[in-house]
Amino acid sequence: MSIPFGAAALVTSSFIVVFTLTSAFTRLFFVVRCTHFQAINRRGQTYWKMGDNVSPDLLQQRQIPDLPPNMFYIPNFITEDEEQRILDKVRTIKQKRSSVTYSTCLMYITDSRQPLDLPHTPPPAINPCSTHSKQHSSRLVKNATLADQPRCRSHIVSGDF
Amino acid sequence: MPPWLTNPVVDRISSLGIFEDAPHGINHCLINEYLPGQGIMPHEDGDAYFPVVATVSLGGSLVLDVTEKRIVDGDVAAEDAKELKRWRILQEPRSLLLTTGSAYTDTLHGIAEITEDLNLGPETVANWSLLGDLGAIEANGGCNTRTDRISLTYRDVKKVSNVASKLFGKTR
Repeated sequence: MSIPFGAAALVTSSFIVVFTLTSAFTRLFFVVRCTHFQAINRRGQTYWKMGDNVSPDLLQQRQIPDLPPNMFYIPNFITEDEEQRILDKVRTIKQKRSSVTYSTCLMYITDSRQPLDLPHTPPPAINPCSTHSKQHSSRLVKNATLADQPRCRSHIVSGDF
Repeated sequence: MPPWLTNPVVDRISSLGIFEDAPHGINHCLINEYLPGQGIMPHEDGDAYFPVVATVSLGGSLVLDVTEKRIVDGDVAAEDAKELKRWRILQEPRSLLLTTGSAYTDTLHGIAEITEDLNLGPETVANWSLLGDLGAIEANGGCNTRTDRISLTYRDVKKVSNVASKLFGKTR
């Protein structure tokens, strides 16, 4: 009699422990998500709910019709404040680099915190209706490797700019 | 990449799941400035990239011309081939344009070297129904006067230097 009772108690207590832990994790997850949304909303982010798992639906709604699949267009992906911050940063970098007088073409690759000036923007000598020339690519590779080696973990071997 | 390029843009793009299958995730950002009158000839992005491109537009609006890519005798058909399908996509400031799948592999894209995009409307702009600010274009008679535009193009560069990989290890 005592054995079944003990087993039942063990099962019950295990169930309570598991339930409590699951509940706690669920609540914690919910709180984190809610806090995140509130933070987003406070910043005035109305179109986008970062962290919300709505991507498939959102993308379906934003698919550009008539084109081959898939192109998606999302207006107001960032706020005006966020846009301004990035623009200010780009302009600052452009001003610091006196060599960039025509227009700006900068490239960042993994772990690179310093911009690499690319020769032109947009590339002027691209053959219409074709991929960019290998010659152009290798020139960029050389620039990237020399300029960014100390900070960069990945280097572009070939590319399309 | 510096934080001002990753936060908040990369996080939001990643949350869409569109780079889920990319081997490295977003590891490359190209910043281009287009002054009024500047453009880029129709081209396709090379296979050095994972076939997903995310473009964030800043500053001004402009029209991206997308053309069907057709292979004729092992080469890409001429740009002016009349039978090719064409689409116009208006890219507004602060918008995100995602290109993947056939749209990435079977089309060319370019920007006309003009100062005004004319004749913009539901019949001529493929993403008309998705635009955030229709009023501005309509109020201007279907015309977009170009101003400075900066585009941020986020991608996954597939190929990395073997030497760099050996020295520093793979990024992911």
